[in-house]
Amino acid sequence: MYVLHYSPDLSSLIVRLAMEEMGLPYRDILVDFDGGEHRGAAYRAINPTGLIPVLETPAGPVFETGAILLWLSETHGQLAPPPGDPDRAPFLKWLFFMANTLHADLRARAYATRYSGAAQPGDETEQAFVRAVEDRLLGHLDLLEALATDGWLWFSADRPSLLTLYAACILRWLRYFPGERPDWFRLARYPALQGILAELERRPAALRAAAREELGPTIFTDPTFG
Amino acid sequence: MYILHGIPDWGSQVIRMALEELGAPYRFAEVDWQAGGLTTPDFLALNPFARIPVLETPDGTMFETAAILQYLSERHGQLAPPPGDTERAGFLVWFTFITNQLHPTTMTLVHPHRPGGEACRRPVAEATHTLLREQLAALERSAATGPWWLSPDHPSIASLYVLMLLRWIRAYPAYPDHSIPLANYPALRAMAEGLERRPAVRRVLQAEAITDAAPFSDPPPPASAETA
Repeated sequence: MYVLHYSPDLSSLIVRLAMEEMGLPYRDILVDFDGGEHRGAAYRAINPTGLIPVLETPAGPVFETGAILLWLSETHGQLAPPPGDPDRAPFLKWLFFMANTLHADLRARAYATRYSGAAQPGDETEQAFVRAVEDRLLGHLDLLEALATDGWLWFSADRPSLLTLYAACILRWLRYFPGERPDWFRLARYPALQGILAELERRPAALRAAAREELGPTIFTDPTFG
Repeated sequence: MYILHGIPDWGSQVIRMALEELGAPYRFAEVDWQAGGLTTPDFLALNPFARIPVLETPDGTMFETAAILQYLSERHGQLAPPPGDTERAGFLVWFTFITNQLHPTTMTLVHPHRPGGEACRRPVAEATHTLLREQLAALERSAATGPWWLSPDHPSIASLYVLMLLRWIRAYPAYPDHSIPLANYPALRAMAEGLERRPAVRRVLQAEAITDAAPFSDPPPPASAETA
């Protein structure tokens, strides 16, 4: 039995979606993120980096979202072309792009004050930083939209994969940051991605995950934030 | 036959070290970045993000350092605990940590203008220097528990990856006072000292014309750095 340490609407959501799609039994434990529980000794004993999520498994605690996803998919043979498959190379290329480039920029946007080294939250340093990160993200999304029109089985509306689940969550969270330019990102500019997200959020797995974290029925195409 | 598109002493180095350790035949295609080689139509067709490394493989063209390393280790069944191995989960955790946290932080230490432009260059560098030392401390604690894939005498795609980054962290920070020596990270230092003596690693250093005595464990810091 897996145990997922989560906080609603954080990266743990990607792992939950993957486990729901795989049909794996698991228990979840809420981490008090706002109260800083993830920085405490008990949590760090499971995950020394203090980041959410961590998944307790028979092979020990697994953390880092990308590592959890790859390990689950290898272990259960689902949601990714397996090692040895001719699609494995392009799949890995885009999965690590998602984890290293897109997710890293989302993190920089989310924690802009810390990453920019701003003296004051929202000061000119931070604003310049945010504009640069947002512009870079938009460039990445154009390439992701192009990928969605290439017809890969692992990045299509027809069936979910680690990559579509990961992309859907990142596209959801991009809308969390109105900032100085509320319209900087609009999903409608990316019709192929929008099509993938619309199919994904209608699936029972996504609906169960959304219900558990109280995120509403259109978590990807029209997210609302509490 | 693989074709590795890269630049000596840049991020293609870890792919080259992995290929040498695997004994896989490859050709190195040097990109002349000063002549705009990263943005030619031919190169952008290989990688639309205009970055190295790029590896041409029998399964298509790959980019993203970690994806290439993961693919090579799966295809050759070497340099990582294989899927199903009891050490696989721990390995994936730290391999992902290296690529998802340590690598971008190191890049920012070297190029602090990249995340947010010139206006916030110095404050970004300061914040990054702090964050990077926390990340190195976490990796040091993991290496100190003795997994073979972060050890001095048995290379893995994780340890080779760290090896390259340790060189940049010491030798190439944008601000010399941000150069980080390995004195406080004994397990990582021992790992680097062991790996930099390996014949496969020496072949890459020779090909890339790097002549430092300790190119990874203690490379020359930037001009005015503290030597403490």
